[in-house]
Amino acid sequence: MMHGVVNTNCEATIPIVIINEKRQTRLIDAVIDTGYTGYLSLPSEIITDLDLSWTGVDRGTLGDGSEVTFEVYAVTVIWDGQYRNIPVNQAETDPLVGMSLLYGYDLRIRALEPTVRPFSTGSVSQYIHTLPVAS
Amino acid sequence: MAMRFPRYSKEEFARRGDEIYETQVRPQVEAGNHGKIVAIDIETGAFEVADEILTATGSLFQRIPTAQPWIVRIGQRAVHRFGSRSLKKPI
Repeated sequence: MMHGVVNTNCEATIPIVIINEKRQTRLIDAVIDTGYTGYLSLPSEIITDLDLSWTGVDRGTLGDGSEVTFEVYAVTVIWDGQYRNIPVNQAETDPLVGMSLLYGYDLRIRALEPTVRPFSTGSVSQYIHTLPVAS
Repeated sequence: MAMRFPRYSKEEFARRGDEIYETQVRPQVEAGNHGKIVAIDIETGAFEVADEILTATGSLFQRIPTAQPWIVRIGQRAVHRFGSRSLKKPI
């Protein structure tokens, strides 16, 4: 099971460890975005810092129906205790976790009063639970 | 492994990629592959079809280490959506 928090900006966030080809790691907090069908988006600052491997360019549709092209990189993440190689869209916003990474999991969010201590062990009701679904 | 990097602007990727996909690739891949990924080298027109992005681009880089992949989801205008439904217009 993975845990995250609903932060004071009313965002459902989850911590993820990302790893590059040199085995350098970085812990990030990513916002869970169920309207994003990809795996993960990262800003160029993180992509450059970790020297992630470029793998191509693709097209995405935004909320207003417009189209944008994205650079695509490859990264390894630790997800539910396992290594996964996933594509990353470069986007200049906070890191986003999309539905492709969440696929196969039971995501539960209790969007109650935001916590001011995001990583406290306080009220469980403020936490996000992400459980793998038995196949 | 040599570091890979784009040699064209994103706009040029889209322009060349769309042209190659429509004229050369789509007629060969569309039937029976709806929703799969095709990675197209915009310099040579070589392409690979797979279920996942990294599988398609990985196969393309194995064949052509200097490939410049444009990534398409077969049957759809975009590979991903950010907060919206797909556009209704056919491609």
